[in-house]
Amino acid sequence: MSFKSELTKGLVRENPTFRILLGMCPTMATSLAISNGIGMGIAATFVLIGSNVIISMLRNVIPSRIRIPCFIVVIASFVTMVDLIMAAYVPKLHEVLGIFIPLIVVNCIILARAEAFASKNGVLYSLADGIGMGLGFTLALTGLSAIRELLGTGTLLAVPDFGFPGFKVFDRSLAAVMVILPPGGFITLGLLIGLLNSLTRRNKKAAQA
Amino acid sequence: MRDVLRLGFILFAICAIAAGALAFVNDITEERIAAQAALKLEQALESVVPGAEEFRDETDRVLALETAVSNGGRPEFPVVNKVYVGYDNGAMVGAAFACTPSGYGGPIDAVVGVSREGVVTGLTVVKHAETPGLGANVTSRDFQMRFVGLRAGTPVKVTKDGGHVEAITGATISSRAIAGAVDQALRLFELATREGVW
Repeated sequence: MSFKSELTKGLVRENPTFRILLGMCPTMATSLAISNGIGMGIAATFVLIGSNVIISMLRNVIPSRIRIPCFIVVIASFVTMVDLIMAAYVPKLHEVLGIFIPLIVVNCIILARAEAFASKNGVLYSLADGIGMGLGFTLALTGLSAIRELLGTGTLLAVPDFGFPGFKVFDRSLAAVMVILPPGGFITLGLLIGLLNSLTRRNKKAAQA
Repeated sequence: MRDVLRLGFILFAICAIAAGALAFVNDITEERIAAQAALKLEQALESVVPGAEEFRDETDRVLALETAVSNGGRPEFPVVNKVYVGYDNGAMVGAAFACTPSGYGGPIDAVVGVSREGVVTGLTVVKHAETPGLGANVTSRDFQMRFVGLRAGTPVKVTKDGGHVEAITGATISSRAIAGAVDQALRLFELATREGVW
């Protein structure tokens, strides 16, 4: 176990979205446009790092029988504080990310990392785990939302909160609205997981041969 | 038994610390958040009623008319919260209606501007919790422009309900909420004009 391997494992090897299949609810809800995917990813990464560090510090204080309610109290308090501080000091950013923040409390990636990693490992490794898992989640959301935004609306990189319509790739009338609705989200996610699995399998075979 | 008490006490201590920390953060941010909200409202008012120099809160006077038309105690304008009348050099140029219709993800704070002639001059969404990518498009200019230019006298509805306003794809409920707010604002404006409030 090294700091670097804890940092990079979340990107591909143990990617929370494509490998562990956690946080499907916010994934489906926010992977409609690249700006949303990145926004949710950054907000979740921030909370993930904070909650991992705090829970790792408290790991010897919290009795194992009541660990889940303790984790939830820590995570919910942290999310609420982030929400209030952002609203007070960076209102512009809060306007864009604000709708994602309540969704983070129910993001099970954060509870899962607290339970599976931070409660058993030191602060430094937990920090690395939080950064890696957060970036992996951001990466997965960005990829998924790029496909959904392009096929579902015909544009890329639209940011409605700033009044930026995005780059038009093809006409909206040709876009498949189904892709930005939940069924299209699951189909896209399934195809991406399949693609990633077949790539890893081929890599493994190549390594053996 | 003793174990239960010990666990309960630890959980209590963690909750108490969390509550204390939250109260502290709330205390230092409350004022700034309120100031941001006031600033945002002012900007919203200016953007929906162009040409107004000063806004006066005349909610009480305008909403008092509601009792005159209500039938059986059911409020006629349930989503209208505040009415700000815009003046330029003492002359009334329009009115802004702060409305809170129910969207898909909770209440939506929207401000509808109506000119002296009874035409919608602007619409802006101050706060909402709609689904990102679908209902959250109520903040897009493209959608808001669909209401600008509508006149008092004809009901404002989305096409699915037999009206003329095209809803956002995949977000009929959010679109319907905004259409309802514009509709009530226009009807209240018409009533106030008829009663000679401004």
